[in-house]
Amino acid sequence: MEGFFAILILNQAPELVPPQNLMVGVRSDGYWILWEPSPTDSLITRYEVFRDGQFIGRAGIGKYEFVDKGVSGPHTYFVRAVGGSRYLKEVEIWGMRLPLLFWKEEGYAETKPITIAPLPGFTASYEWQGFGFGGYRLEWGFRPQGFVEVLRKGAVIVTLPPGTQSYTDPSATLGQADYTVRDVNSGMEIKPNIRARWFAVHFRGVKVSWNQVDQGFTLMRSSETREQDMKTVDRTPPEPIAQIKPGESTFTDRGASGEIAALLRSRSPMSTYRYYLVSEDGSRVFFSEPVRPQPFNFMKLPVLIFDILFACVFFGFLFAAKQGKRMFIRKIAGLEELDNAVGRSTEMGRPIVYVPGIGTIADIETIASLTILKHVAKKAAEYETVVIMPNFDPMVTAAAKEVIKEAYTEAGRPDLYNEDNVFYVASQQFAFAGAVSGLIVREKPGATFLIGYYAAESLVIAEAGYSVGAIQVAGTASVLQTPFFLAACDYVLIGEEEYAASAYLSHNALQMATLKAEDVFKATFVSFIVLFSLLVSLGVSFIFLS
Amino acid sequence: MFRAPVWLVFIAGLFMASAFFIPVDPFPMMQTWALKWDVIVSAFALVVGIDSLVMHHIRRVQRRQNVLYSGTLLVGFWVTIAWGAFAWWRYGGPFATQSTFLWLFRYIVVPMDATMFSLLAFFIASAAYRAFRARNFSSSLLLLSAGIVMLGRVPFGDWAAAPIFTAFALLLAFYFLRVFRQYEGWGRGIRLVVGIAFLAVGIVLLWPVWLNGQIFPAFRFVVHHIQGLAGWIMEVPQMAARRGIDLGISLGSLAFALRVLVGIERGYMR
Repeated sequence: MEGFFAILILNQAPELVPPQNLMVGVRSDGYWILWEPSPTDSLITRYEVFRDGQFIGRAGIGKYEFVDKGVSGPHTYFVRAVGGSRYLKEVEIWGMRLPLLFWKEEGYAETKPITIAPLPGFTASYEWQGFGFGGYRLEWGFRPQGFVEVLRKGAVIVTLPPGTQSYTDPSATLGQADYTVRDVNSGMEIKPNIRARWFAVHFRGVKVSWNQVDQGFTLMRSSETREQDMKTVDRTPPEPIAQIKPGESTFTDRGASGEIAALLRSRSPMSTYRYYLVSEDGSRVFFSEPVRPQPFNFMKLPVLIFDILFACVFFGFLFAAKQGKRMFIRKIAGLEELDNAVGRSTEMGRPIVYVPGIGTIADIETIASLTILKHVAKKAAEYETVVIMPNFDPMVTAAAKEVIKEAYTEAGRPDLYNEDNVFYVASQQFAFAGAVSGLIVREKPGATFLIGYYAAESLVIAEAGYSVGAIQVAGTASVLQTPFFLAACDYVLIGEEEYAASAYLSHNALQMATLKAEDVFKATFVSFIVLFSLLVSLGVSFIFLS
Repeated sequence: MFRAPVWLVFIAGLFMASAFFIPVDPFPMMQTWALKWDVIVSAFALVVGIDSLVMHHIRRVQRRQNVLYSGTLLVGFWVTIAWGAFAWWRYGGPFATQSTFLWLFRYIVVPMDATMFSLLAFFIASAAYRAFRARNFSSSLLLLSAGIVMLGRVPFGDWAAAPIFTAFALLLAFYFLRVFRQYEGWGRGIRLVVGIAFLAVGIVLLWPVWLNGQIFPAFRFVVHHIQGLAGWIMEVPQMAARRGIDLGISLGSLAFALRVLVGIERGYMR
């Protein structure tokens, strides 16, 4: 047995190296301790986290973060990597010497402690810029094989990677647009196509300020964005954004625009992001107050201004109509034919089929469709014609029943109303299309009204109506479905004509006046389009951003 | 009579519009609540919808009206519910990995959906046939531009395009030069000029060109431009018309929303 289980140590156990780049961030639920794996990570069995010298938890293999929940104020953290060494041992078994790998936990390595604390006076605020010049955008048609140099007044301002075909010069001065682009490989120089960028509202960045510091720091930023459901959280750990020199007390974070946009888009009061000042040796971290969304989203200021202008014109025409001013509204053929279609159905002794599309009650197109339905149903009641209405959405079914019932009552024929003719079919697109097509083929209506929100099922239903010879009036705001309706239907409400229908059909001066506001704005937009097209044709080229 | 619902619509609409501009509480929170309410109300409305569907078809069966169709629907409806309930009891959910209910979904619902969708191809063909008939100047223009776009986007369309357009130009030349005598005044002159122009285009496209000792028709050298022409039609005239409609829709929906908000538009209410 001599030599059996005799152990030969072939190599010494290596030294354990502590985890790297320990950093502490702030989350809504506590402090976020992050580190990078130790270079001897393969020998580590776990990482232990200590707060103020006390063990508070551990992270398993492959995890390099720990959340210290529910804490605030100044604290000191360090992380201990606990691990062991692999040993190659030679073991003699039945006369054979076999090398076997053994493992022994035998040591640990700690990071330097890091102290985190809030810093009074460390604040951040938004910086907005109103209408202004945002630099020049350069575009060149050719695809350069080599690096590209952009020259301004003969001096190289930037070198771009091969294949680049555009560049924006944000530091440009308005009026100084003497640019040349050079392909370094071929030496070819060309004049690029230059367009000025103009901003309606421009987010310049976040201005971070703190009490003056007498040593260098690294400025870092982290974010925490919550989705609309308030549960899904997207977190970004602290990332370095700038080096702060001694004596500096402010910094404008221009790279924050993406984060700000996400923050404002999330519309969640729980979304925040923070700045950190980290000392050069990494032993101290100071964090700022959380940056939250502003009470007003300035990125949407142009929309608000436009809405207010539109509302002013809208109410202006409403007021003028109240004063008795007569206004001309062009004829809309599709709407003029609604009554004729109902009349034709009556003459043929056939029912009418009204399909409000596959929108829900929350869609504006469905609401507009219900207002047209009321007119059609009222006319049908007067002519004693049956209205059949299959529905895609249960809530639309309930609303449509009420609308038709009201229309029959207003027409003085509540006795003709049959609730069974307004029914729910299916909330699946093609099941609905199949059911409605079958209904049209079986009932052979004299007229079909396909008005509302439509997608790919539009043509399936419209062709069924065409096949039975029904007079068809269609209307949708979907630009993609309008051509299908144009091909298969007799009259089509294109675009906003569907929204204008109820005002047009009411013959009410007040409602008609609101259509005039639309026309004024359309004329203004068309004028702008013509003006800018002329300017572009004359060589004045620009990009307008908000 | 309408006072309370109109005020409710006004306050709710104003609140939701404010939430678009103001990203701090209570607006985002209220918006989230409103969305949740929408989901809850929709769920309850589905019960009303199912009642409407089932009762509608039961009444039809009772009246002996389309009994086969309504009977099939009712049988399908109850079988699906029973199967789903069974799958819930047996597999822990109708869409659990081992659930036999998935068979119903995969091999009946999905293929039927796909069948209806694929029928669209035939409907498009029949609608296109009617739309592209060259009845007048506008539909001829539609036919021409649709032909260019189709040929520019299908495999080998560029090669097929040149002979097709040559034949098309010569046929149109033949038609205009044949009918121009039947008209008087400007109509006669315009048709003559158009006929000659189409004839010229046809001749130019067929003109023999010598290259490397071989003879090619001239259209051999213009085929590669058909894709660019198709792209131009889609990006310039088509896009311009589409943006015009989009502009009108945006303004129309804004005006409609304002009418609903201030209570001028009440057609959707009882």
